[in-house]
Amino acid sequence: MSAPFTRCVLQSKFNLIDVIQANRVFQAVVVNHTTRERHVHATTRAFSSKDGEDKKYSSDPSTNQESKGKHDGKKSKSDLADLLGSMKVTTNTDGTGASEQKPSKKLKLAHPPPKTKAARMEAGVFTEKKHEPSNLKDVKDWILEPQLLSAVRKVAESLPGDTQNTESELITKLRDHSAATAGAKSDVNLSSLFVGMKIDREAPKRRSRQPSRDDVTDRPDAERRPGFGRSLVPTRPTRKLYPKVEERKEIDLFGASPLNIFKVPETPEERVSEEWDIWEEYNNRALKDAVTYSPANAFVEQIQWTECGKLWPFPIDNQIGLEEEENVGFHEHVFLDHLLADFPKRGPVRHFMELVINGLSKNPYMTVAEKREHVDWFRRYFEAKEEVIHSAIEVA
Amino acid sequence: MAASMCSKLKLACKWKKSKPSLHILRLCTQHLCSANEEVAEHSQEIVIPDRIERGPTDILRALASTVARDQTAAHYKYHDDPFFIPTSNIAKRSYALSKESGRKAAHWISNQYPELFEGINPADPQIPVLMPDNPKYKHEGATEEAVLERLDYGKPLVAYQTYQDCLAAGVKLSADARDRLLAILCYYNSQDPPLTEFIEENWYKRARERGVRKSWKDQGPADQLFQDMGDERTCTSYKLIIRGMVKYYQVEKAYALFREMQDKGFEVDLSTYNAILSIANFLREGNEQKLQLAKDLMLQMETQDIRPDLTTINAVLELLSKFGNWKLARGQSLSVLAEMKRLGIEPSLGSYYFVLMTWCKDKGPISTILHDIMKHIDNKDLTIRHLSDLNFFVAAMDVCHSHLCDMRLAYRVHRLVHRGNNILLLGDSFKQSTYYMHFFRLLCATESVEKLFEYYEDLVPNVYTPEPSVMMDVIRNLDANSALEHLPRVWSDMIMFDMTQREMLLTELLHVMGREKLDDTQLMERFGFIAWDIKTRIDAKLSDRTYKSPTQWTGEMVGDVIVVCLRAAMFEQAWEMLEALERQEHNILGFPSERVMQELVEACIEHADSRRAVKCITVSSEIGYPETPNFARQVACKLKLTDSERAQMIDIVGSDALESASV
Repeated sequence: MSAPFTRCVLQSKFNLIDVIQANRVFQAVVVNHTTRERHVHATTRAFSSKDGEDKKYSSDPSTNQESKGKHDGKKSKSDLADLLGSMKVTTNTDGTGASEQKPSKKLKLAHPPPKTKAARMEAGVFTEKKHEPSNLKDVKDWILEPQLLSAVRKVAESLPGDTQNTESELITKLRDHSAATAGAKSDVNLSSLFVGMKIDREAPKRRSRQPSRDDVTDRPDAERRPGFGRSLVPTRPTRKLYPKVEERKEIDLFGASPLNIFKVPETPEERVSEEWDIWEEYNNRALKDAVTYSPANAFVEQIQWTECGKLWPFPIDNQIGLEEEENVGFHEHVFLDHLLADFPKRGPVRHFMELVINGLSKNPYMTVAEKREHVDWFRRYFEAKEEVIHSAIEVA
Repeated sequence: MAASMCSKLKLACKWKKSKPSLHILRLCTQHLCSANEEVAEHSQEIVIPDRIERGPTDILRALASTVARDQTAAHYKYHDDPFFIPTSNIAKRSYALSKESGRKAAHWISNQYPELFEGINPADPQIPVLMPDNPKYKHEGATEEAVLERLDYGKPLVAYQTYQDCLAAGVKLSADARDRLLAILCYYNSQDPPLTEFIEENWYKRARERGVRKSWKDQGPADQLFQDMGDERTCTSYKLIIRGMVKYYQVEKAYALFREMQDKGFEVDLSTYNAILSIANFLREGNEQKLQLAKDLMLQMETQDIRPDLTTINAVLELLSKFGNWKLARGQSLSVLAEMKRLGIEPSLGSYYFVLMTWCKDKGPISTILHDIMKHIDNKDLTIRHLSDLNFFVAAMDVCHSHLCDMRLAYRVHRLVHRGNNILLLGDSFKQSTYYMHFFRLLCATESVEKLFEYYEDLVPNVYTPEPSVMMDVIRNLDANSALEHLPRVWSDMIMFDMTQREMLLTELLHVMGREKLDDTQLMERFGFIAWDIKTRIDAKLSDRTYKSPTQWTGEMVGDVIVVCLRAAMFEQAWEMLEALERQEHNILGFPSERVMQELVEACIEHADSRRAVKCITVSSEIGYPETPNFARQVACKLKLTDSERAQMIDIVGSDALESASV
């Protein structure tokens, strides 16, 4: 469904290109005609410049003409006027490529570049070669190949040495140039031409027809999402333009020539552990947090709870968290008689302390160290109060 | 076992003394005997496998791996009640964050009023994460132990306060203690470490990722501490402050300190080199110079015999990816990968991400390097090794969509994402929805309706809620494939996703529905209901003054509603739209098209309603459609007009037009 339309758009584009190229040819002709041989490179510059062509064309001829002065002013002026008049008509009526089709008498005047080149070559000006690419580029557009060949032959004949050899050298050189410039030229022209052209032509048609699939892909994004590093490409060409998988060139990711900066380690993986790097620890934590999302099911939730210490870790161990008593045996908790070795052998203090020991041996909530400390506290207490106790006993 | 089986069978025989069971018994015993013989032959060595050490969560992990995703269920974090299951993006966000804010409120209460919970916590030993966040420090006063204790509790700012008290009291800290304080201050940019407990907040917060900008606190505690050290700065303190500054993009100072460190003869280590490599982009102007700096740094590492790691290589690849459309960058990135292979460093997803960024530029030439990357990572279970790993999948899908427009490649990427736990590397909510946005837009652009809906059913709305632009593409895809029967479904989804006030979407939907009359009358009726639903929703918001930006009617939309209603045999509603158009002439931009007016006139004729027909012609002539006389002629031919109506018509189109009709 979209194919005819695309074709039609393309066609119109090419038409436009043709028109513009034809116009350029005309302009070039005009300029060449008025400025004669010396100003050839003014045109070539104008050709190679991407923008502001119109300005150049409009300004160049006039200024050049002025500078050129009186010699052939009148005649060329009238020639120019005629030429412009005829051109205007041809472009308007005939649209594309009018110049080629109508080699009128005046247009024949417009062929100086090859002639000048030939002439110059004949004169043996070899510095001319610098201008060749741009000249040839123009030449190729409207000059027949035979003319060029004959020019080359003439040059070759006029030069000393092996004529045939010179001729073939010149031709290969020219061919190289023409190939290179043709490629470069088409790039430049297309990109500069397409600027601002496409949208104007397509926009009004959009609504009236059924949007095709190409169209769907071609619309600008309704809303751009900010913040994302790469901005989204607003318009995409159709899928057909992309290289197919079969056509693509494989890239060997690891096959390029390496930087060769580092030595290859002889023993793989003997990482020198750094003495103390809390930084790496923080980094690892950040990495882990970066992939911690809210749990997808209850098991994952329990994993998270276990990891942050809210759940008992497996295997279940009811001694967990009691690390300080890890290596203390049961007997140390229960048999505490040896702690009373330096207490009095009998009497109320002994009696009291036996009761204390009895109680401590049944207490699961204190550590052994705490129990010892407890008994020690009583020892110190009774030592301090020894006299008071003795006097009390005596009184009794 | 055999014995027990036999006894059971015997028992069975006792109960049912019948022949068949005896027969079975005989067979079984025979079988068991033969089995015993076989066992005897092979049972010489029984190898008892070694006990496998299990981690505390291994069983849970095994159990979790058995639970597949239920595509009909909302995410586990949402309350499992139909009323509370969110479908639109805004609802998903607010429900998830509301739940989190409840958790935060509880935290606040427990921190603010710890005394309320004293003595009632039965946990022994205590669970730190459930305790109030104001630990009782054992060490008080200005001592080194106090500083270290506060560091152990992860309180850098309190520790810094204690450090200052130490300074004031003339207590000198050991170099080690100061470095530990500096490390945590540098890593967290002189702030308390962020709470990782609030997962939802992080999930949504990462959406607003800070770009590259300096956020290092100049003259903050970290800077102050480093200055206080004066001549006693150790190699470690230089390393730490440089890494901190690099992390928060204080690049000039970081580089200056790096030079100072080298001048003083301290040995730079791997992480610090990595840090400086990662800011090479800011230290030089010009791509060649930047790359040269990176190479110089690597050469320095080599002379010091420091072996590079993944971070080193990723830093260089990242640098190359920042070079715009620099031609050499592509080749250089391959060289770096080759170097990586030579050194035996396995690239992470992040490395591939940077390569992808280097090769597939927005305005650069098309590159198919993603195919080659996929060849290396297809069918692999991936884990995170570098923070940039999280960018890969989003970028890859973006490239599939915007750069290559290659659906087959997108399927490959999608398969990889959904393999094993790879989905963890898809990133946070923003990255995830960007990924799916590209995926669906590519589907819309290249695939058939069936294929599109296959994925749509699977992922929408529980995993992903489409953005308006994606819905737009879906509507266009349905339109391009002439699958308008799915439009009612799309409309009900739009209601669920809270997109009923998106002007562009509504315009497009109405436009597609009103384009042509289909034979399916049932479908046309449903379209009529949808159009009327759209109308009531727009009007409701327009009359609601609290609503900020309601959709405004346009003439085009009014026209589409009229047409759709007419085709659904809803003449009265269509007429109401026309009246609304007249009533709100000044609020409605544009007019219904001529085609709409024509259909309306025809409908009037069909309903033999001359009054309305004349009205239509009035409107049409006010708009200035050239076909108005034709309409008038049709009306005059086919309807009986009263004299006043005829006079009105003549007023509008002139007598000639009507005359010619009657003749």
